[in-house]
Amino acid sequence: MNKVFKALADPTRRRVLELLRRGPMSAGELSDHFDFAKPTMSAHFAVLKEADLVEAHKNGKQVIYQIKVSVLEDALFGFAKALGVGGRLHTGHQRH
Amino acid sequence: MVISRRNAPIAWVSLLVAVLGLANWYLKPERASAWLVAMVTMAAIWVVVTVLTRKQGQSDSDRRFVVICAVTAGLLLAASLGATAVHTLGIGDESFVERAKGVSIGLMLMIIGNGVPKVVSAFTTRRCSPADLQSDQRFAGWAFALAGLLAVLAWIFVAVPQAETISTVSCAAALLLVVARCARRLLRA
Repeated sequence: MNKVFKALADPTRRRVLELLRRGPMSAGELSDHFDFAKPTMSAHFAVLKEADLVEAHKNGKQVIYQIKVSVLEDALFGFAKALGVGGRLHTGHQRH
Repeated sequence: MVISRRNAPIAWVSLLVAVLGLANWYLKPERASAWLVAMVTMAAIWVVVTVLTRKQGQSDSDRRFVVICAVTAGLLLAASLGATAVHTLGIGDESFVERAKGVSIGLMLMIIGNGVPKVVSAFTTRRCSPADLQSDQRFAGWAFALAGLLAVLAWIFVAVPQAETISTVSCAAALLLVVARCARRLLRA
């Protein structure tokens, strides 16, 4: 559960999960929503995978991420988001 | 039978069901067939899960979900056998057994509901869009988990007749909502 708390404590990772709620996305598509360097995004994906909140499938050269959160994790995600745990994501860091 | 690390919880629950079944057999030998059915059922669940989780092409989350469902079913049996044994020993009244069974059914619904959105099945994602499937799984998970929570609270805090009504209505409502949502999606497709 510590891994889940750690993963959900970061606003960037929460935003990644929010994007994945719309459906599976490739690592590149996800990275396009942020101004971070690729290694930084890879580190965020690794934390989410470690916490078992996302599943990664290889599709050719692409890595497709899919959200995988239980009801309890979904509730924790909602609390973390509502309380702004770990700060809120600045819109300047994020592309839409 | 080889016990894998993943299936170890089922082995422990099977052992618990066997011990409680034998305890009930000793306390109430006239209902031996009922205790035997409970023990055989748990053993059958263990065998089926062992066979199912050995199949190729399943993701770890699929396998874990099957194990969670089997363990939850086993705990439901164990709770029922445990409550009956305790009652036979003269501890608690008839409503205690009813409440224990109601709470364990509610907990089972909560645990299974909690795990439903976590299943990412390669074989089911092909039937509709993965986004739609995950949205439906999330909805079903929340519906069953909340219905289970309501049932557990009712069986703990409300009188038995009302608890029966509340838990039946909440579980039926959750099931109807999930079926209605799936039916609507099928009609739109």
